[in-house]
Amino acid sequence: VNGRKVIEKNVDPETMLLPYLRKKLRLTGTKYGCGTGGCGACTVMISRYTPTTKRISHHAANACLIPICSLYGASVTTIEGIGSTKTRIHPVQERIAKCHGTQCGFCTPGMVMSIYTLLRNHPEPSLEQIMEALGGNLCRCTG
Amino acid sequence: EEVSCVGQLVCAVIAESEVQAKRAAKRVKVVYEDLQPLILTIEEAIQHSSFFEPERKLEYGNVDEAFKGVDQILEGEIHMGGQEHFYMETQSMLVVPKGEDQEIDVYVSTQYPKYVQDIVASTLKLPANKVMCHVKRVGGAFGGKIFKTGILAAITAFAANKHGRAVRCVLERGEDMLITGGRHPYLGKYKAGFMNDGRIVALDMEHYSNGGASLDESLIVIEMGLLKMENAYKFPNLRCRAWACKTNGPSNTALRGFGFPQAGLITESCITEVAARCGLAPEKVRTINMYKEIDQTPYKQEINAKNLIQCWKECMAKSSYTLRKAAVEKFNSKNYWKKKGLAVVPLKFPVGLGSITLSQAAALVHIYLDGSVLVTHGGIELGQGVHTKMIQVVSRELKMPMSNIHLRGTSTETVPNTNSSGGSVVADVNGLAVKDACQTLLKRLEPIISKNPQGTWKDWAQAAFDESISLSATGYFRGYESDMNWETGEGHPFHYFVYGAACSEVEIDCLTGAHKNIRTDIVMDIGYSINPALDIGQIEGAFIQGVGLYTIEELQYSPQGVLHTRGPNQYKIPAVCDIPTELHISFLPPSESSNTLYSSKGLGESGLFLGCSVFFAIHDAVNAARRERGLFGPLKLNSPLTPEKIRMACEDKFTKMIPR
Repeated sequence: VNGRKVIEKNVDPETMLLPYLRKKLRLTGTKYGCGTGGCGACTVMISRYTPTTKRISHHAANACLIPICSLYGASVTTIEGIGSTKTRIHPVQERIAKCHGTQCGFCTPGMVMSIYTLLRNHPEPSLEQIMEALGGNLCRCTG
Repeated sequence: EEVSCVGQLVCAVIAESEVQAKRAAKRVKVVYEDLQPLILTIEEAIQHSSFFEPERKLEYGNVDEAFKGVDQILEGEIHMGGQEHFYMETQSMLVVPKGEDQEIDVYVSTQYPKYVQDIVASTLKLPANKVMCHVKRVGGAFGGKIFKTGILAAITAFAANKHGRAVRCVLERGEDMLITGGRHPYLGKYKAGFMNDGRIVALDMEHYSNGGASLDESLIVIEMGLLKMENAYKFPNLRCRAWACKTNGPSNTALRGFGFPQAGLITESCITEVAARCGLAPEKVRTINMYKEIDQTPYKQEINAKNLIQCWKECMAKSSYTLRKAAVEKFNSKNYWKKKGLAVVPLKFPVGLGSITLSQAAALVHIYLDGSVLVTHGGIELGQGVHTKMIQVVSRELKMPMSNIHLRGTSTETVPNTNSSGGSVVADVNGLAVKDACQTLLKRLEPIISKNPQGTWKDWAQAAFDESISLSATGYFRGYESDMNWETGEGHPFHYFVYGAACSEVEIDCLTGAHKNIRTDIVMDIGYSINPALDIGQIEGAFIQGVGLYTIEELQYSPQGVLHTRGPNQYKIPAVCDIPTELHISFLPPSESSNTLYSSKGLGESGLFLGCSVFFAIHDAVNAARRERGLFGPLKLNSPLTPEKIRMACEDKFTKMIPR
């Protein structure tokens, strides 16, 4: 998670990634919005290495629906992993803040992770790709 | 002993972990005995005369006489569904008993910390000075974190107190949607007497709201709905009566707009029907009935509609209304299965809470010896940016950079006895309190500053300390005068009006009922803006929430009153695909000063009603489809105008194939 190896022995197979990140690893940037994968407040980036193609693939995922048992050998990047006010904020975070794209801020970590993952995969996305990427992130404050 | 709705809190279970708590809760067995009658809808409540007393009425002119002299009369009704707040952060709270002197800290996501303090103190039989309620920020509230939150906090506090341990309570989304109520569904009945040129001379209306199982804010909602119902129009003879129905559903509460989005829709619906009857374009009927310059509202408050008319004209101009209407008609003539629609709607949103007590506010400003400033006030940061605006006020008053000022959060410990944060007045009233505190400080420090005008705040602070001058001040704003006499139906309840207009274009698919929001132009009169970026954000957010209310958000219940739609997968709030492809917002240049904070206007709620421009644009498109299919006559469309409703309204050979 965020570049640090995490080993969990004897884990409850029902444990989802979201409560694990928040309660066990104390990474509270990823938020609980609905618990059913509909709102995107819990979006994180999952990266996996495929040995046959020798490539790493990145995709955005809803942490509330991922059992941690499915993450063997995977890498999870959360909002804390890409930048913070303590270290240095990431350009995506900076842009959203400066362009007034955030009001109460609750959905913002999820939005940033969706945008970040999109940019990792498509450095110059088209409008359709952007709409597709952000379609799963709900925001009640800005619309 | 008696449960009055599905979702009523019956008991609470405390455990060491979430999983444990859920398992324990499943083991609780409750045996029910059905009581009659079961009242779930407004119609059933009317049948059983189940209302929260009293009925409210607004009268102006002589309606019955006026009906005798009109060219035509029409009667109609419109249903409006409720709305779920769907704040991204669900109800959450943490109660920490301190163990000493019975002190208890309550960290809660709420708009009304004083209420939480009071209800926790009352539940634990403590004086208020032992309960400290802290709110750093709230992940969205929209009116839903006022009363229900207090109840949940009281329960959590009781548990914390009983076991002497910190207790956290966070509702899951499904529970949150079930337990907390939302916007009041409305039923509006209207009878309009009008002339052939579209002038509405007599209007007799009835508003019924579904208040749910307990009173909460239902009476105030229908009162506000009544006072704001005429929107931007002058009806020379008017009678409107309103009732809050008591039903066996979760208690409905405040939601951004507070009765106006519902009452306004009923009025606009009536106007659209009058226009159809006269064979006139809706915007012509809207223009002809609008307030003209200096006039009087139905409750006899003076109004100057100059800016309203300017917003209307500018919106029509900026949206190139006439040209686009022609383009829409051309498109419709060429496409059978897709139709476009265009509508423009005016807005007059009165801002005011009904009494001077409800708009009082307080603040606290400390200057430390290194010249840095700590400020706090009674308003809650819900995402509307109030803390940013307050720091701006301090910066302007004390003439220091914003980076030198810090605002930590809101707490009953620092600023006591505050009103709930809502009603579009938070930044305004709290800003005036902050301004007051700063001016008190400046007055005290005037001799120090004049002795060393080139000095820094650090110098002045140190000098003040050396001369025993206090560097801390409270600020107070007593509130705006406001009164409304419901016996006479007259008063001056509102402090000012926010004017605006919105023009929306949509495209509907007649086969699926889906619609696309193509373009919206909004023009608003917001006075002198303290922070245009925040204001635009509020208008955009409110507008989209309105679009959701009127077109895609639908709460579904079972015949037994159980809520079916319990999450974002069933209850659809607007997402990125629902934003109009072009969204333009512009403000009128500020023209008049007032005694609000720097002559600004509060914008939290007004934009929401403008979402109905999309409703009426879809109405327009459906009308075009029906006309083409040879279906004339009045079109009755209820809110929310979901794809199902749009599809079935575009009647064709397929809709005739299914049994009705």
